[in-house]
Amino acid sequence: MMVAAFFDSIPAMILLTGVLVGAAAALPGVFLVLRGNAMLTDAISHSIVFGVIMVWLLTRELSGPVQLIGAGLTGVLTVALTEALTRTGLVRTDAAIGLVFSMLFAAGILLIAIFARQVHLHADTILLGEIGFVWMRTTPVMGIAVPVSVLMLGVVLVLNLAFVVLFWKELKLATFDPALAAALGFAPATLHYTLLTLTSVTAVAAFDAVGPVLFIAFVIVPPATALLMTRRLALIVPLAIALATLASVSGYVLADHWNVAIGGMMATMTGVLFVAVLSARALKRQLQHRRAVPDDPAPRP
Amino acid sequence: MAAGSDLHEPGLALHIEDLTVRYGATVALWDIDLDIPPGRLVAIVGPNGSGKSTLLKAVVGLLRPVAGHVRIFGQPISRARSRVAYVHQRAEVDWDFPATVLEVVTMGLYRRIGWLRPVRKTHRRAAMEALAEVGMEAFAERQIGQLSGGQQQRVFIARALIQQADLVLLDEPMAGVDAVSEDIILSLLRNLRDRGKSVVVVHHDLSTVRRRFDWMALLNRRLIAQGEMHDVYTPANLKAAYGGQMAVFADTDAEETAPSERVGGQL
Repeated sequence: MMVAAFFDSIPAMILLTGVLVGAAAALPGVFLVLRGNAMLTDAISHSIVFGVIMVWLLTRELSGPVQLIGAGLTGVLTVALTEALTRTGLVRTDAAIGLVFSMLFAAGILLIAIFARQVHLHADTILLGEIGFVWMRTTPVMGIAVPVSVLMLGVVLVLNLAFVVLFWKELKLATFDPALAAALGFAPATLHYTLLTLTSVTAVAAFDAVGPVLFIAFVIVPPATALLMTRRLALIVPLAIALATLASVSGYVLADHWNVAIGGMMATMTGVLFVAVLSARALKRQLQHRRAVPDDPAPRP
Repeated sequence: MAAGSDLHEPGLALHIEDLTVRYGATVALWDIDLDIPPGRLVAIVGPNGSGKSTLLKAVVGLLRPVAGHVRIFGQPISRARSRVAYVHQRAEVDWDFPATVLEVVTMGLYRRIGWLRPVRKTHRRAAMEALAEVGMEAFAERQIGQLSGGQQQRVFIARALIQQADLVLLDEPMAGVDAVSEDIILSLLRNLRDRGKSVVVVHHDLSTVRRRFDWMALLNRRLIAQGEMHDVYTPANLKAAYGGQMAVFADTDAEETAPSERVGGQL
């Protein structure tokens, strides 16, 4: 059967995982980058290490639905702690986020060092993942052995896509103008925290494949690149997904060619694409300047 | 709609009682009692840091007061959201955000459109009409980042007009805008008032406030004075609000000498 053969193919599964990570991460990534707090992803992807190790300690499960729920709970816990800290009025929100996320990350690493030294939970694997091995752990879906990572990422991608499509107008308003969103009764804080929770869930689904550190690249870089290419929000999202897909595919081919880490090469390619687009834009602007200096757009205030 | 017995001061566009707002340990507003009648063009005036913006934010529920309450046409903000339009300062949003002028104006309709429902052609048409009102229809498809300060402000005002609110609150709508935009904005606000709407404007420019508004509240963390412009615009009141910054008033007649532009005002 063709479908079974597809899911049996190691390169196909590695590629599919890469593409799924890129697409799932770009969806919340676009709004985080636009809000100007892309680095929250850094914080989130670190704090979920705490969630992953806690769920592992409790259930001995490293992936699957329990881990996704764990990630969601870690997201909620992080938000609750951040809000509690902010409410004291002693620290600003961004500082509170920094405090909470780094504390959870430290706690997670400590727990790994104490309780999980001898198992496959190794700090390197946890931080960077290993996309080359995602085909090894499978679960049957309608009689076909599907890699657990592919299944989880597929579910999360659908979840993220549904959220972004359904709440498109609300996300746009809350990202551009949270004050108006609040004045109109659109609960921008709830939307924002839902976005962050989905980012945590995505980070956990991508955990085996790319780990929390490389995950950051997938959330931030393709959306940031897409933003350089167009000023239409409705185009930025599909463009970011396309860029992430391109990075995954080219990263896989190059990693295979040079025999280097696949996940790392995919993340590197997101950066290469960003630099390429940035250079092309700078070049284009210079050419335009030379051609017509007086035809500048209206001056900014 | 709740029963009429829930209404508190329904005859007032805005009723503020015992309002105190704090940022951490700093008191931004202290025990404000303010009653704004409907159908007026109201200026909220006071020196820098006197809590003018804070007052508007507390009215629309963006800030939670530590004490006191606010009623809009007799109702708390949670029940009056569709009757209020709020235009914050221009600098509060990122003008590099990828959106067109028309998209931003359409945002004023989001509450009427409701959760999860998409923006439709009729909404965009309504947004075009609002843009025409502020003389910006030619800019509908422009990126918002390409607008001048005055044009940005007009876009925000179009977004407020489209909400068809009965009470419109504007924070410094004439700060840093060109003369053409300023005239347009002023005539739009007068037009709103003439149609029976209540317009409350945080204003920084003492030299123009008397000519432009018909009602005034003077603020400096506490409420100094409120009422008809000619009753409130007195040297004693202005001095009480501006203190040492208003030395010019100590020995001149306010009726004759307009204070130098932007005394104690914002840039």
